[in-house]
Amino acid sequence: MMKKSDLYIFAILIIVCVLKLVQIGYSRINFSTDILLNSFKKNYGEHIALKKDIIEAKKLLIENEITNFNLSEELMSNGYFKQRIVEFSYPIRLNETSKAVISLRNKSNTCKLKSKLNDLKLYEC
Amino acid sequence: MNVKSTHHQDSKLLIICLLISSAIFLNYFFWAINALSFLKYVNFSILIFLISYFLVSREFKKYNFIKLFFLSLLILCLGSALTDWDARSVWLFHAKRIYIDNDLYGGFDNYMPELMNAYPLIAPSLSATLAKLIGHWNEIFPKSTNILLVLPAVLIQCFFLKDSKFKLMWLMFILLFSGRILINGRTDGLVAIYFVSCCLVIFKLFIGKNLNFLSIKNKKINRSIILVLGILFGIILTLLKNEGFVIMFIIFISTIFFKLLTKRNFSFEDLFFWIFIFLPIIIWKFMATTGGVYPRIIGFGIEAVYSESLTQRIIIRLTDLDNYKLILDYLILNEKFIISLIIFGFAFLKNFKKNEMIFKFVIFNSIIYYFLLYFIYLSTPHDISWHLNSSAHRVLISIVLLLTYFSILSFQGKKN
Repeated sequence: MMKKSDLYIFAILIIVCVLKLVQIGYSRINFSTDILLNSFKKNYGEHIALKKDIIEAKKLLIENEITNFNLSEELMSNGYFKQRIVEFSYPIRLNETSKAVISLRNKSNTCKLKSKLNDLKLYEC
Repeated sequence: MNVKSTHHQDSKLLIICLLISSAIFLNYFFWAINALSFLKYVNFSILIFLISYFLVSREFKKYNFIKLFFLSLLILCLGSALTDWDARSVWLFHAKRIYIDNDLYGGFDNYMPELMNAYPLIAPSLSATLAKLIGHWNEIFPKSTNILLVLPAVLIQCFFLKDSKFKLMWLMFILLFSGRILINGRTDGLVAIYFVSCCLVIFKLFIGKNLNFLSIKNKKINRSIILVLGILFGIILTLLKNEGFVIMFIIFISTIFFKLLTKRNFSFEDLFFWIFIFLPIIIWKFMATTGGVYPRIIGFGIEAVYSESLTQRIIIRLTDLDNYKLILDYLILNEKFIISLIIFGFAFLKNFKKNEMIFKFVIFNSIIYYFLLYFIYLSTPHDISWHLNSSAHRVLISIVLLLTYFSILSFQGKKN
């Protein structure tokens, strides 16, 4: 039989653990039951984990069957965009000598336009 | 619950812990030798079976809190997207590379060197196997294998805490201090957890007076299991991250020091123990360096903020008063570090006499690691402020958990 004092200690410890789990879930990692229920679906979570332009860039690359690509100057200097597109688009690789160049839609480029979406364009240089 | 049944549970727990750790190591080993996919799948299925057995079996009633702890972390992990910078760019990117390239050594082509191709890959290799078994990749489930890695290390920690109160208290502190970094796909939390387990097992094996936690009957068998577990934990720690390798080396040095201090004999068992632990990481490092892939933190291939040599960088930073303020802010005035110091201080004052050796061992390891952090930050080729801001809170968790665990352990009745 458990002592009364032990019972209080257990109750306090359990409450702290539960509160901490709730805090981690809702304020630190944005836990969602939707994500949990779909956690094993193919390609699920892209729209939650990444910004729209990264998903768009990969779509451009896949639609045009590009195997390696380069980024325009302004996208290359955007650390977030560069890092994310590199890991998200893999096995399509970033290659600074590639002829396929992704650029922002509102920036002009002298290369031949291959495809465009809402925020980005794909050029062949 | 009678004593016999408790010992039976403990022995079984040791065995299941050993089997889970072995499956984790074998997964890496199969990738490392480029074994048939079939072997990786069978091994991973065995791993899942063992964990499921632990979760549903009534034989481990004593460890129900750990089951809940494990399931909670797994649910949180599967219910959140992969957004953390390092987790995406380093760990899960390498997992994706292993999965797509079907090769553990794909990173040795040095594609995107800033994404740390020289890091050892035991955690990503587990994610890659899961993705292979599932048959596709997404932004959610691959990071969940980190929680599988947590389990054996936490099991052995709780195994040595005999009182359920202490077990639960320890799980609470893990959540309070490192809850998020265990879930978000990084490996810093894993390094911290394995640091504690390795210190614990190695202390019990080589420095502590006796393994008085075991039943007399099974003492020899259990010691052998713990010896193999020590090797497996050591291997996992060294293959988690470069910090893990450094930490294991610190434990190695301190073990030799304490064996000399206590006038213990060195045996072949010691020699083989350490050879087995360091062999996989040495092979990895050898292959990386012969492939031209170097650890960037030391400064290879980085456009350094400071162009001076390592010693010049340290001297320049030591002479700048602003750096002392930065270090004070990040390496001393860290709330988790301060709380763990208070807990440790309290335990030290109360229990030093009955646990003298264990306190000395923990203090020795913590101090060496802590001063090593100063060396790393003072010599970093990056901007010191950026480097401290981006990593100090994570690497300090190793010391925080170490101090906290051994404080709780010291409150147990028996002498260590």
